[in-house]
Amino acid sequence: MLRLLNCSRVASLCAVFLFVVPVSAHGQGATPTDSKLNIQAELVLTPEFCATKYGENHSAFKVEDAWEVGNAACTELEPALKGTFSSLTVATTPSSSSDAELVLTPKFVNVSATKAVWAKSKRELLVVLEWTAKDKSGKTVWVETIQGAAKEKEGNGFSHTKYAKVLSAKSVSDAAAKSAVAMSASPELRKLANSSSAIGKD
Amino acid sequence: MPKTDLVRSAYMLVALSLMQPIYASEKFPDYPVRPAGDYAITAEQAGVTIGLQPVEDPKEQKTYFDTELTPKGVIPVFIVMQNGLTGDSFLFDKTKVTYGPADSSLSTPKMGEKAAKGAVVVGTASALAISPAGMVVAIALASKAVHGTQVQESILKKEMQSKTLSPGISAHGFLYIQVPKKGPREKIHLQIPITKASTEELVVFDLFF
Repeated sequence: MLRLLNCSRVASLCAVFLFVVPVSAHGQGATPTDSKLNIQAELVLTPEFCATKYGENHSAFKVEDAWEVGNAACTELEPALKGTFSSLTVATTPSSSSDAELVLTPKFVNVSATKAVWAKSKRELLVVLEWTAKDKSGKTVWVETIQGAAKEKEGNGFSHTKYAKVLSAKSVSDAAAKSAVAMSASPELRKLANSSSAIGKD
Repeated sequence: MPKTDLVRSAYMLVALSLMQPIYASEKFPDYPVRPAGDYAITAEQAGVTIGLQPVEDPKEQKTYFDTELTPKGVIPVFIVMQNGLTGDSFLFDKTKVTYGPADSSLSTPKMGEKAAKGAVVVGTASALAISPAGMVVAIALASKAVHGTQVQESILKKEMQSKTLSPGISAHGFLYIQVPKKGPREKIHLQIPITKASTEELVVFDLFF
């Protein structure tokens, strides 16, 4: 009886791990908050960038996909990058009078989506986001292109647009999280952070 | 008899519902990566090595993209860039890459010129800027193939994108070059300028294939 109990306990523990481990590895393990860059960064989110949209809206007459990635990015990027830098401000235009030591400008390069046959089948959206990071003097110190992807239901005639919006947000959120990791791991940005710290100490 | 048809229909539905996820999870293999110096076409400057391999065999294109791109007027060119330096980073801007016929004169950015002054000229009338024009063409053509959107996504995923070549780091990906659909193609001159991050100096690579 005791053995049976132990076995069931082990089984339930395994079951718990099966659910817990993938979640922690995907959601939390890669966050760069533990290695914050000591830089005053400015994130430039221009109205044009926030309005970036690929494709056309779905209508009753035509099955189309509108990927409103700019709108999603202007919601997702700041919270995703906040933990990467000691200070992060958001600007709508690049400003030369800003105190920022690093100016981050994102730009969408392209998007691509697969198609699913059934309404409940999942399809994938790939977003390609390019970053340019300039120092205080305006010199480009880092460029990187990030691919974000996610899967979501295709949806039927009524829910198609809703799911397209959800898919846009999820893909951009993935790109935002990967951007934070890439920035945190960049030797060029680390070097800039170290030099800023050294100047600060002097 | 109608009962048998009903069972058959049920089997068909089950089979179809299983087929879709298999189709959706279809993956195209990645093109094998070798050190930049190991390619037949290679150039080295300022501590950076660039190697390239045009993938012209339609069978190979079918393997890696699930479509034949040459008959559609596109050649995928696999590029490997390797920064062999230990202290300097280089910036690769995809939009600055140009190509044209080998006998044409591309507007060559001057070596050592500061990139910030806008020295890079995208190209002459005979040279087409690869991106986004080339990419759009490649995607539009590939979309017409079977499983178009998956092919399109695969092309986009594998494209060489703008990035920083940190010390000791290499990067790879495809550039898509537009060529005539029929007849033998001319020799192509591919020009790849990269910028030394610390000094903003341009280093220009001229590759012919």
